[in-house]
Amino acid sequence: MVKAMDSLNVLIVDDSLITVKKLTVMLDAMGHQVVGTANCGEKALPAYRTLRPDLVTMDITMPGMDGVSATRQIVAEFPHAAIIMVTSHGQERMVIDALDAGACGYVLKPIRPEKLADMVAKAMKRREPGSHG
Amino acid sequence: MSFDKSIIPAVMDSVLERTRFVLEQEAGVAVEGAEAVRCDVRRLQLHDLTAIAGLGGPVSLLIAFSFEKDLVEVMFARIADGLDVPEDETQLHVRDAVAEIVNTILGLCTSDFQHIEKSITLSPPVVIEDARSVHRPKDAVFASMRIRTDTGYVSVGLVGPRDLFDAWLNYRR
Repeated sequence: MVKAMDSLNVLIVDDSLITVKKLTVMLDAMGHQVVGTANCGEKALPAYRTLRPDLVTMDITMPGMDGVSATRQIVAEFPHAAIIMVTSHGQERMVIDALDAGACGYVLKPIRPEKLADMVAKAMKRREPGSHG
Repeated sequence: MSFDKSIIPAVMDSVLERTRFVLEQEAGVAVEGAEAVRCDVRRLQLHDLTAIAGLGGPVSLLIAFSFEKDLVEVMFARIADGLDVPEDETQLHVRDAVAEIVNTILGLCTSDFQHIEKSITLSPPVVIEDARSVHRPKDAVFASMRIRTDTGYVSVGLVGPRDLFDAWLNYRR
């Protein structure tokens, strides 16, 4: 069950220390809580199983397993997972792959707080019971 | 393996514009201009901190962004402003911030190249801290461009074909 928008538990999957810190500050300012981080795609699914977050922010370009593959793994086991891609990858093909893998949407880097907030709201709206978005 | 030199001007144009955007947005650093692109240079001079990433697909090359020390310090101070960075982890975060800047620039560049091919891969940047020269082997192509900012230079080097070098710009003999 998705919690109220003012208090989401968030898992950040990103290999960049700076990006993790920036996302944590932004999400905290929105009233959400970062409950865990994973620095590569391989660790994303185990972290999801353990934490069962309301929302995942997922980088695409990471060493080893990329974010698209990690998203596919999570969604295969948790079909209602809310995953936002946070990426610099501007290629249409990559974005389409991420959405096909089950991501709710994406935020392009450089990350702006208002864009992130907007995408979080859209992602959670899609996960509301009865939503067909 | 051959390398198509004709893509160099388009790649450098894209890199310049995306660098201008990302440095301004992420670090408040203004790009004031760039010196003319030099093709077929004999060596690349790397500054204090260099991030190297690989583009795969038809645009198969390594791109090195080499930053002067003053520029790195200013960028990091602004990027890390408001973030909790332990003092003993500062250098680790500096490297990470530079890698992330380059990752963002090149990620955005991939959208400029997608007319060439639908799928262009981007490898995570590696960072090297030793200033050094990389000499061009006979079978390689080097191109360079110096971008002038309001706080120092960043030199961009294109190296191809990508397969001739490892991720740290060491020639595979």
